[in-house]
Amino acid sequence: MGLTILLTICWLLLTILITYPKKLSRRECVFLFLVILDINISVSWILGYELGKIEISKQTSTYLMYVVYRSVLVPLLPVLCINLLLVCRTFLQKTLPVAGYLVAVWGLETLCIRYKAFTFPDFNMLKELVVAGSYLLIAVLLLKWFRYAFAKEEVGLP
Amino acid sequence: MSIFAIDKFDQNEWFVIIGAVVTYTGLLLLPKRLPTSTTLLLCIWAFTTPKFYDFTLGGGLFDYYDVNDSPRYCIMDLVSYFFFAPFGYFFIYFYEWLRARGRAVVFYILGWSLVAVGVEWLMVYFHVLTYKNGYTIAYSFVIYLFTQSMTLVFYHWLTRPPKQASSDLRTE
Repeated sequence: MGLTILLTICWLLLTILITYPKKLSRRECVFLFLVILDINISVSWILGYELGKIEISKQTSTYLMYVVYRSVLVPLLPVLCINLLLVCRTFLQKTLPVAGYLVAVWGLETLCIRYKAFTFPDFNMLKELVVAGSYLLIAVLLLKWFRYAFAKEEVGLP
Repeated sequence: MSIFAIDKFDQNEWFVIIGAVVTYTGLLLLPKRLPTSTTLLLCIWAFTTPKFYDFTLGGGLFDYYDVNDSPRYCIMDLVSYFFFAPFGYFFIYFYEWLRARGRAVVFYILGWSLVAVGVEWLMVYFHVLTYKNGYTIAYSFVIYLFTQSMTLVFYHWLTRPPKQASSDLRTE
């Protein structure tokens, strides 16, 4: 059941990203998604298997839940959040997508813990939210770099 | 032992380092055929996909193989992903150079999958990869077929012009 819910959320978020108007180009979305995915795979492996701070499920369906969360949802949420941040004009408006992003991370982690995709023997939700916040910050910095590096050279590419 | 530390510096480390030097030299020496951002994204794609497989199939619940000396995450694992990265560029570079289209794409992907299996065989020979739990190179061949097909889909999606150009928001 947990895997079904998570896959449905994945489908919904991907559909929103693909169909809704967005400020990020295709290249920017892909760049942010892949780099955050790379970082998150390393971070989750180190926290889970090297340091033992996160206990990852040993059952196939819940392990797949963890894989979907780690590999799709975690990199996708900052991309969606940045799209919304770029639409917002005032500081107050910009706080809403950030708050929404943290609430979404909190909700999805609660769902994963509820279905025992992973548990926190030596970690907690606050630390996870700090990690999620760091990903958002990294995504903002990466986007700035990408636009700085390629704005002049490749204007008009999709 | 600390994270990222190398257990023993021997043939697998040398293979990865020499392989990375050779592939990046090739990347720099080939005449430019693709925009720089496309090259970067193809390299990141080819960096990410083996990493995803290694940390999903190679480790974790399935645990089908070890990369380098142990199941631990060491710095040479990271170097090995840098070694893979230019292959994404080479794959598309020769696809464009040969103008492989239509049925030729089938043979192009099959050919590259055989090349990938050859490289993987060398990696097994030099102990960069150690199979476990019944995993064989035949499984990798299927994974290469799938991954390279996805790489082509990714490339065409990336370079496809936007359908509609709005004055403000991009609606692709």
